Amino acid sequence: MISRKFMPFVVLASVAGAVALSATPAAASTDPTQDQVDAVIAEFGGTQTAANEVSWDDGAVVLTLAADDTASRFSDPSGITAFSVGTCPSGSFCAYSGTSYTGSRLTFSSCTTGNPVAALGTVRSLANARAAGTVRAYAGWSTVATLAPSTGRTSVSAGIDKLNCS
Amino acid sequence: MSDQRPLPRGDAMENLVIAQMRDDLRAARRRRRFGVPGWSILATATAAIVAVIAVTVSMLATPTPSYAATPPMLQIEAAPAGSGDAAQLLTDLAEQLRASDEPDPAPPGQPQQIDLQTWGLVTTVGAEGEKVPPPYVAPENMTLTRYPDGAWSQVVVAGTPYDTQGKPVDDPQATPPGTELWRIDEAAGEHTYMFPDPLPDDPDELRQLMLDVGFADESSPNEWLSLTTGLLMERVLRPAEEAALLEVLADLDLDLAGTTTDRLGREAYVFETPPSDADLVDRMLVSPSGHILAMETVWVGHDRTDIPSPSVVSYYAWEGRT
Repeated sequence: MISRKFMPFVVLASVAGAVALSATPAAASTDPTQDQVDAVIAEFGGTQTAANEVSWDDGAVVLTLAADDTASRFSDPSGITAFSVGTCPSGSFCAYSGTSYTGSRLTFSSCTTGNPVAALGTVRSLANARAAGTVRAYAGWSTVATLAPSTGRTSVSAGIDKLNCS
Repeated sequence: MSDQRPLPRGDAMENLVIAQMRDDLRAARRRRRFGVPGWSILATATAAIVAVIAVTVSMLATPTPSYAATPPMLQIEAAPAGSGDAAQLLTDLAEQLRASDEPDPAPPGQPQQIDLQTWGLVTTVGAEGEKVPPPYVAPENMTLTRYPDGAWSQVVVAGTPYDTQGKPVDDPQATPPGTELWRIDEAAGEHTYMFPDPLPDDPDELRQLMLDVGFADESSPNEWLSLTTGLLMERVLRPAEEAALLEVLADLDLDLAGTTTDRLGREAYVFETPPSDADLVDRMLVSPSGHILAMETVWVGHDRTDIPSPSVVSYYAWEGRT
């Protein structure tokens, strides 16, 4: 028996699971966030309390749909992940072994320092598909490329061995 | 006082052995007379159960390798006798191409269109939770168009997915073949070309041009093939340009691996880079008429758990250059 104390978390987990599973909405819409809110309420009840928020039990349980997640998971009825730069998923930054965002791809989904790219052998293109923050590519101690948010470089010179982000 | 007992002599040792045999015989008779005690059955059964559980837990604790899907390895056969080494064969193919009367596939003033099939292994770093890769290879078909004014278009559509044996996969979850995945359209002046101008026909000049793009003299053969891939994604080459390129590549330390049928069903020579610290071998497939058909990279290391060794980690197969 699940105690009432933990019930909201169970509900949230269920909703989150349903959100993750319902990646193929029936029809494309001009407002995918609202579509998702409608889908959650239809499935689990609750009240819409903001553009991307659903609440239960007078606010005891609140589900907030993250804008990035909404865009990446629900905007395409075919289930294709939304890419903001080449094939680099939204919210990530990527290094490619080929020019023009081709070849093997390393996707970095969180911003840490000194991300090595040795697994690619050589880096030929870069993409920063994050909404904020820059990505810098280094060859040793030299900065080879600096990428603003939502930008990419279809070709970069050889020698890049790590990426940093901020 | 010593606590060491004198070692038994020969006859004493024989008596000890005989006595031990008698004791064993008596014990066996007692067991037969009274049967097997209950505790013994219980102990045996318990031991058996423990053993089964231990084996089961051991099997569960040892994860079954779950590899990302990668394309099947090319089937490479020995090159025909008389093919020579890689350098000689590339030089011969270049001469053959120069001597051919093939027309210019992309006359000046016309848009150049490059069609190719590509695939690359995706590795995600730092993701929360495990991301299960699709159990099939999902190639992409890419069309690159370079317009005379410098405008650029790159359109990528989903290809037909296939399994690790190369057989087509019918998965309703897969992106339907032909679906546009992404595209880039850049107006004149927006796209940065590595090779903005036509290539020289002279191999020495071409080598220097490729070095000027951002290479050092000591660049590895892998990087030369990587840059060659980038070049072939930017320009449709005239026969003389492609011949010069083959002559540049003939100076690398490539090996002739043999012949194969490429992923699009074409016969080709296979040239490959020698082993390197990167654990990656790059392969270049060249048609008997001297055209570069495909490039691919094979991982040959032993420290990855996401793919077996060896595994193809990316490939490019040019389908059309006009």
